[in-house]
Amino acid sequence: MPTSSSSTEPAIEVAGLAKRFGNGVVALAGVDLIIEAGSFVVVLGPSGAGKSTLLRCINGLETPSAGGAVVEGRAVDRHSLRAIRTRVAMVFQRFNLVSRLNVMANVLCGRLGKRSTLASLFYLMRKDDLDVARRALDRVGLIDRAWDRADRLSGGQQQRVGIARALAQEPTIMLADEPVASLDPATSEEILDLLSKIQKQGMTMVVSLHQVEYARRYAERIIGLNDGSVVFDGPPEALSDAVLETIYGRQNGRTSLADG
Amino acid sequence: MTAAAVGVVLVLGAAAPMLELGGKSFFASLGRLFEYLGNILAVPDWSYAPTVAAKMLETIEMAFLGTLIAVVCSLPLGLLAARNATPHPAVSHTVRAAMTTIRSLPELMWALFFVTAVGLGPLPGVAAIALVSVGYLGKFLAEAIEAVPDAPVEGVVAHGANRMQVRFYALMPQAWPDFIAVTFYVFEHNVRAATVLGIVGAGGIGYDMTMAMRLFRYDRLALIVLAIYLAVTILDRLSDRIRARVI
Repeated sequence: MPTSSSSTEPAIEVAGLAKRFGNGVVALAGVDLIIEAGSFVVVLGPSGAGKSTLLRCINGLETPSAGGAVVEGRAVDRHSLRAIRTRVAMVFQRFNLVSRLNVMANVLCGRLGKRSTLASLFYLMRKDDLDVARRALDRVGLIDRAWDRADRLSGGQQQRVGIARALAQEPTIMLADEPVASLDPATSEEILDLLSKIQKQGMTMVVSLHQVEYARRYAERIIGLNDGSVVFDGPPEALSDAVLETIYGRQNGRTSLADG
Repeated sequence: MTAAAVGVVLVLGAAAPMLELGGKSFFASLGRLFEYLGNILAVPDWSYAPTVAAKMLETIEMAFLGTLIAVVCSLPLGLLAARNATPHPAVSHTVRAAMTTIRSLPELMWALFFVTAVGLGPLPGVAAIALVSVGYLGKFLAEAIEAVPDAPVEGVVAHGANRMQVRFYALMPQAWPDFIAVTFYVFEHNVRAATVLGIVGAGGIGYDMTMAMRLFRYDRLALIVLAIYLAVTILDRLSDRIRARVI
């Protein structure tokens, strides 16, 4: 497979992606998308619009009911899962760290996909893995907390560890599922600045958000999602009030925007 | 509530004669009890102290070794028994059933069994302690693993970890501190269990204790009781301290 950044091949292709959960809830009702390599894409929409499900289908954490995703020319399915997860990193709303392990061990978890079961069972880490983890921690500015237990860190710091873990994977694509929804505004901006910096240094970044402000400020392209369908797809400048009405739907857009 | 209390009193009243627990015999034996307690307060035979110390050490070693073997054995068993880590539900059921069977008999019964099988000495005692502890520790570990939330598991899975790596990098690390805490409780329990195993000839201070009782050597018995009290208290304090550190 050629390297990811070949300009002809899109980073992510989503075609006819639909997801219906066991309880009958339709999270995605046929989504088609092409995301170019190296771009900063924000998936915007109210809660329950299907943002998480969309990202999780790209990473294979959810299995689509119909359609599917192709990542760097490779269809996401049961067989390609592990290979795809070594190229596509995921950052979570609730960080999803192993709270009782120290920061370094959490970051090293990002290397697991590339290592054999046997070596990892004895917690034998290769020196180059440690170097990768150290560099990742350095990039998020937490190298001095490397040996603290993850649950001793603040929310913003834990999210940085989550990002370092994602970086340790040396991915080409980073999916961030509401990365700032559990953080205060100042910390949120720090995290989004960090993601933006990482993208500029060479990464396809797909971030789901529900705050219009942040979407306008950080996105190169915004995908508006409502009720499982794409209702807007364009640059942030095209995000007019009328468009916001359709994304946030229902009644008057203003009140629902305010909770950003 | 009252009806239940009345019921309990009635049942106890009906059962007392069967157990020969009458007021008369109770007060009669109370007298003997005080006489006996007086005997225990005899002047200890201090020349016997080194023997007691050696025997107490052997008892603690039995408990320690038994617990250690149990910890090692319960790691794979706990993983097999936990519903979110087992390779197959049938394996989980089988391992759980086996552990329940082991736990259903106390250490003393297993010690009797092993004494018959391998002969007298500390070895059957260690085997009995290890076996029962596996029954408990395996169950505790399985429950601690099942209590691990999905979030850290998903965090590791999303980064390409396979099922085995998930067990070792998400489930075990999250369950580990609780398991260690429980292991200390089990060790304390095992020290106490080891003190009585000598009664059936499975090593430890229990043998000397029964002998002292049978030979009416209250001066020695006093020392033995004192040694057990000290050992259990000190270990209790120590494990409290270590436990506070790991959680």
